[in-house]
Amino acid sequence: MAHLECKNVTIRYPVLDARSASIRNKLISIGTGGILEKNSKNLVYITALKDISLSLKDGMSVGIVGHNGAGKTTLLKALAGIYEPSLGSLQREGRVATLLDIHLGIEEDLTGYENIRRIGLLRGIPRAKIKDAIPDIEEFTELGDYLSLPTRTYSLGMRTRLAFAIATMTRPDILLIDEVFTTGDSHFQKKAEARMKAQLSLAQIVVFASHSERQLRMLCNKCILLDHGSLVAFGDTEDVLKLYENKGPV
Amino acid sequence: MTESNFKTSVPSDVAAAFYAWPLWGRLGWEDTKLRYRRSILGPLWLTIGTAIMVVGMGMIWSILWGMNVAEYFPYLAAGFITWQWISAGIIEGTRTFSDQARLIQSFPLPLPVHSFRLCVKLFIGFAHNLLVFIGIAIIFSVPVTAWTWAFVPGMVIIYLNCLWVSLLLGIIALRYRDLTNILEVIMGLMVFLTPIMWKVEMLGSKQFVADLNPFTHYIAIIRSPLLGEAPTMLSYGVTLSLTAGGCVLAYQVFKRQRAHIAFWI
Repeated sequence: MAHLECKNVTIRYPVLDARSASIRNKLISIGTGGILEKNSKNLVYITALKDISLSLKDGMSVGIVGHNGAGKTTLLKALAGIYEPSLGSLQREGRVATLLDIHLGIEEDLTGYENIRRIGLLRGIPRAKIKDAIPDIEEFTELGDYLSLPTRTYSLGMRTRLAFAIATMTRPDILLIDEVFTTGDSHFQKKAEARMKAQLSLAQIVVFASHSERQLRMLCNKCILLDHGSLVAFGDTEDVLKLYENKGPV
Repeated sequence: MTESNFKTSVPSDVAAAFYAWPLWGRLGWEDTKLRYRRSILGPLWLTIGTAIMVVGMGMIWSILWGMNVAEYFPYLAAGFITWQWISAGIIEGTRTFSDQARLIQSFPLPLPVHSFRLCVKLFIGFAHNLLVFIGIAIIFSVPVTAWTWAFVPGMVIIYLNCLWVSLLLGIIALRYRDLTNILEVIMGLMVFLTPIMWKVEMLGSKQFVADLNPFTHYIAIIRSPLLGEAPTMLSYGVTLSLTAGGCVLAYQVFKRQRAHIAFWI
């Protein structure tokens, strides 16, 4: 059983290199991004998430909507354990995997096989499981002997195949996805979609940040609306999307 | 298994980082390999570079000091390779986290992993440089004594220091970016102020000046055994106390600042 719980989570951090002198107001809420604040020492703070409480349970597939800088990625990173909350607490049950930037960590001077092992380890997958996943990746990517060559020899499409296959090599209980990546030929597109669907159906909780309403309607039964780091709404996809549309893009 | 705040406690974070040894071992080795990618000799360039430095410096300085080459070359080589390890630990230690910004913001890894990774890379560098000393030791038939094996605990002490230094400086340098530049300047000076190219005895009645410099002792715990001599108890005392104190300090700072690291990057 998987479970994700946020209790009054706030993420607030200082901008160390900002010239605070040029920011005049004490509290600024501009069109995009989190709320900027200036403390007595002239240090600028960004409040990227403000007092978020959420309880995600088995079978929930949750979309995150909101304009640029509303805190979608920050929320995903907090749920992943990359950012620790400044205030509040998080609880999690179940194995988590992230699909943030699938190309990240791929070293172009290493071979395909070396990258599989490297990124598998970065994702916290035990060595034995990485080894077991290799035949499946070979089959999925159709890269054949190219897997023994440095990835700098790959075309963009080939790289995406490899990155996608590596990112989806385990079956997590909780899956956190930032946007959906789409490159490569149509044949790969179909395969990728099938693999993605298999991942989504096996995961007990999916959290998916996206701008695409089509994808959100297709994949999510619930949605969260974020605005300036605050949770505005959490409910059925249709209701939340309607609310988001009515508010209009900022 | 329920995880609160995902990173339960600092000790379990450090333990989790330690158990991820297949990861940091691999990354440390790949860092070395990728630095010399597509060159024919690969990481052997580390060895060659150091060999050229030592031979070049040794020829001039042995004349300057009026020292016997057979005595000066092994002394210089052993001290210089140890210095390179220490100096790289301090300078690169300031970049432990800043160099891994993208990884830290994308994978929820236990943060000490980045420090462990750097230490592996630095040790691999030292191991390559050690070949230079071994070559020189064979040429000038440096004696192998019972004390020679004391270079192993010496390496362990320096390795442990790399761990706390890279963790501590890595955190401080995120907040104060000038630290890297300051330390580069200081280390560039210390190479001359530390008995590496010269000997403590040359200070005559003012030998205490060298003893006040902690680097003297860190160098001695590896150099003396390599030359078949015993390091002084003072050297062990100084280095072991600094190791213990440094580990405690780095742990405390890490405990307080861990939550900030991902934001300061």
